[in-house]
Amino acid sequence: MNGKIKSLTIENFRGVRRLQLEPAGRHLIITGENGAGKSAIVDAVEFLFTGRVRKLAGRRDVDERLGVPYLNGGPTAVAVTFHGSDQGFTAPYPTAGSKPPAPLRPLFSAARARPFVLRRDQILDFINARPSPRYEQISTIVGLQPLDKVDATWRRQLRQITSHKSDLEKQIARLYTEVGTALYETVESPVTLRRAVDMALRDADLPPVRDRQELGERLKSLKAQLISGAEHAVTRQLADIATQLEELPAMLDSLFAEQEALLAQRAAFWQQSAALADARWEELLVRGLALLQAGDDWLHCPLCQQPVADLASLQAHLTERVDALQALTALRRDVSQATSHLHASLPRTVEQIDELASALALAELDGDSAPVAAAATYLHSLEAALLRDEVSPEVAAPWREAAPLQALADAWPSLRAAATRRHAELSPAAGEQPLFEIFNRLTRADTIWRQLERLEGQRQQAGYVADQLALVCNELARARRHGLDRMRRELEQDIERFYSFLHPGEGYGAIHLSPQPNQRSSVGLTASFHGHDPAHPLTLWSEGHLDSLGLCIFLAFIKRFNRDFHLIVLDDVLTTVDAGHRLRVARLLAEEFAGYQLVMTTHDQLWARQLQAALPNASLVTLRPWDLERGVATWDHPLSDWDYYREQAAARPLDAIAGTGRNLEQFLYVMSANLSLRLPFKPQADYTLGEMLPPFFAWCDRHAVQRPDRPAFAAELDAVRQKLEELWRLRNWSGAHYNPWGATATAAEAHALIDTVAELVALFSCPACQTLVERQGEALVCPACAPGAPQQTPPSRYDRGWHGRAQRLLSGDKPDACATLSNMIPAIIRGFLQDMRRQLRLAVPARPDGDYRATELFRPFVRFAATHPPPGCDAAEIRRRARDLAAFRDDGAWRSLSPDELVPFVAAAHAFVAPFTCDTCGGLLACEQERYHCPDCAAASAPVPAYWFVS
Amino acid sequence: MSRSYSQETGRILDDFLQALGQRGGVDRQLLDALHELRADEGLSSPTRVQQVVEQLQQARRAAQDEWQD
Repeated sequence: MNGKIKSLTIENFRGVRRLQLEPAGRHLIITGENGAGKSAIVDAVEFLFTGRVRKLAGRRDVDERLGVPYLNGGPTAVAVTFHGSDQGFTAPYPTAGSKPPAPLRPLFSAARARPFVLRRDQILDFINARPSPRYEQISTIVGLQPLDKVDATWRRQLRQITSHKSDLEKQIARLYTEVGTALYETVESPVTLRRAVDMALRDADLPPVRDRQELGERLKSLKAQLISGAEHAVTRQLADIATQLEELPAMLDSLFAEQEALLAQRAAFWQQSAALADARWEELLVRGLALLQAGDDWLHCPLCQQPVADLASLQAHLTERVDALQALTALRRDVSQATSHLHASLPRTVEQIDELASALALAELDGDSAPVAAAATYLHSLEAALLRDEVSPEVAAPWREAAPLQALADAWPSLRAAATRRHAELSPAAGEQPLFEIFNRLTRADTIWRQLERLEGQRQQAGYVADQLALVCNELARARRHGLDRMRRELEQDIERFYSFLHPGEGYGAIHLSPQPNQRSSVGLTASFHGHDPAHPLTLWSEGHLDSLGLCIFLAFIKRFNRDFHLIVLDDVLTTVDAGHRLRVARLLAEEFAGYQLVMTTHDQLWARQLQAALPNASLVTLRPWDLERGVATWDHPLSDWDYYREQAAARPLDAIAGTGRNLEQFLYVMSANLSLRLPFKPQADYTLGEMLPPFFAWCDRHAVQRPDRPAFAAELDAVRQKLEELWRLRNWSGAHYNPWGATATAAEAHALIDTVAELVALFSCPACQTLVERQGEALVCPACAPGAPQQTPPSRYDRGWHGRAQRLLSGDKPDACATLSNMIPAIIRGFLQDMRRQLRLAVPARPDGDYRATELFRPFVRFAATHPPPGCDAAEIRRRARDLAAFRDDGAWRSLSPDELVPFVAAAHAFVAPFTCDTCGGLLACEQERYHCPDCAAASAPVPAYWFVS
Repeated sequence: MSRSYSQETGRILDDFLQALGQRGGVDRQLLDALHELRADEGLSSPTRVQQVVEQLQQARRAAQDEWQD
């Protein structure tokens, strides 16, 4: 199964309320005027297979939910059954959750993978597109997007790893600069680094190194030259102690200042709080004061109810008390903050003095370090008291004057001097300073070298991976380019072939889909025009040629890539292509896409008819004008163009005249090509009726057409011509040009024009397929049926009217009747047998002249007839009748008859031949596949493809 | 879930892998990983490709360490 539609049911979709089409796997040609709903059917087919309508999907400014369902309709769905399958599928809208049955899924996947619907805007899109978007379109059609994604993914990885490698190289370069600065040399590589290290080592009288590991050994020995390891540690420790001792006075001063501030604030607080023992009455006082200020007639104190003698004095007193109370509250806040600060700073001081005490104990200095330990102990006790928020005498006393801390301050100068002295003793001597400086430079170089080794390792890994990825990307790009080139060449061959078929010898060709230089994903489009250098077709090509080029490109893609899905939908794609070229399109489709089902729409009825004639097994559906109540609908009975126009003429005679005139133009245009009429050259071939009618009838005047089925062809043509000369201008008045009187054309005039044009077209149409005939040599031939020249059948030897004449002779009183019948009957039997030899293809020895004697044919005929008896007879009856006739023969010849034997002789002859003659025409029957029929009657009833001789 | 490669994409990828296998200098581990990704259509998966690259880096680091040891 490959996607050929057996039946299609569309419900409440776009402009369709309900429509059922049953192409039964055949081509489907849909025609109708603008707005009849052709494209709605195309949209439904597209939606069925892909789940979306391309022109509505993915746009913010178009509401698909409004555009897909029929206005105020019921549930929206498109259902399909397939030719050669019992499986079907219904696609509802929205499509959520609906999946085709498993056997159909490959088919639907193939449909979704590549476009199978072509609309004119897509043709223009492809041709007008710039090279990169054109590549995107091709990539979508061919299914190269996954390949592009693979390519992009690997190239992104390559970019990342290359960028990482570049970062590493920058870091390495920075470190080389840094180590160069440390070693006073220019360092750019491991070699120059080692050389710079060796030079520094040489300054220290040390041998050069092979690698960084050896530098470590050199550093160890250099360090041994400077100081012992233990001394080095003590030196560092003494330096720390000296630093701490330097900071000690300031640190203690800060602590003491904080404590003194706290003490001062506390003292102030207690002093003020004692004076304000009634502070708890603050609120009452505030309120009382407010009351007093608000009222003018207070005569008694609100506290003691005593008469108030001096209200102003009372108010002043209360205001003073409130101010004092608020100042106390603020002081309390300050005390709290100072306490918090002391809580924070005291532990830090304690810790540092603890550390100092430990260091001094280890350093074993000459001075007495006991005061430090005592101070640390004392501060620990203060810290504990503060944490308990306990105001002990020690906490409350000024710490600056505390004995342990005073002792520490006293011991500080001697301790500091001892530490400085000891440090000086252990530090390098002045002569050792250069060596010490070399040691520091080499230590720094060693550190950087270690980092360089690590980064260099990472850079090598990144470089290796980048090289590998570059191999992958380059090879992938090469395979992609070769693949694209191969596809492009194959496509170009098909496009060129299709286009040459449509436009042979017209100067258009050399069509190339060429990649653009320096652009990975681009496809240019070039073609030649009458031998000019290749250029974009937009440069010189006409609209019609561009449209057919787009169609050829689409068809080439379909032929090459849509091998699993044999449905092509063409939605009115040839509007700018003239009638002659469209006929070639129909033939191209018939020849190249015989295995595909075509769904084609067109508003052009003549083109639809030509398509139907050119495409074998095509069904034609004509749509009614659309209306809201019915939606898209087909005519209930098959109509010809003329019936359609006749129906239209009743209500819209001008439209019917215009449509008929268009058909007449197309007829004349096609016949101009088919009869090779001499028309003046016009680049766009936009001929008018006035230009085409005279040459056409001039040809008719010069030629006599012998049409067997219409013996009065010439008279009929003449009558049509006379009527047409009166009527054809209706077309111009009513449609092509504006004329005030044209608008008054009546239905009767429209009918007259329709009938006349229909008759003219019928005169030059093939009776078998309605295609317009074309001249081939001395004949007018149907190009679609393409019949051979009529066969010259040998004349019949059997006289089908003999029995009537024999009866008349027998019934008359003619003296020579006996002799006449004695000669006539044997001749009739001989002619009968000779004709039946040909009709029944009897197996007898060949004779060049075919002039067999009755004796040679009689037995073979009887044998065949007995084994293939005609209707109403059996083998025995055939043999009996043969014996009855043979009784009149003697020694292989007819014997002489007496007058009395004439009647039985005629009866026996008639009985012998009658079963093999046609009841209708009296002709002889033929036998095909065990069945007898009359070839003459069959030939008379079936239309014969046009092959009419012209003289 | 990756969409199936089209016939044309599949053909080009097969040509690519064949050409890559025939040329010298391609890491065997990388080549095997590419074939594996082709088989289950993961050649365009950034995560899986990243994994392949990391494995390649690790293998290279191990080889370097081994050489240095």
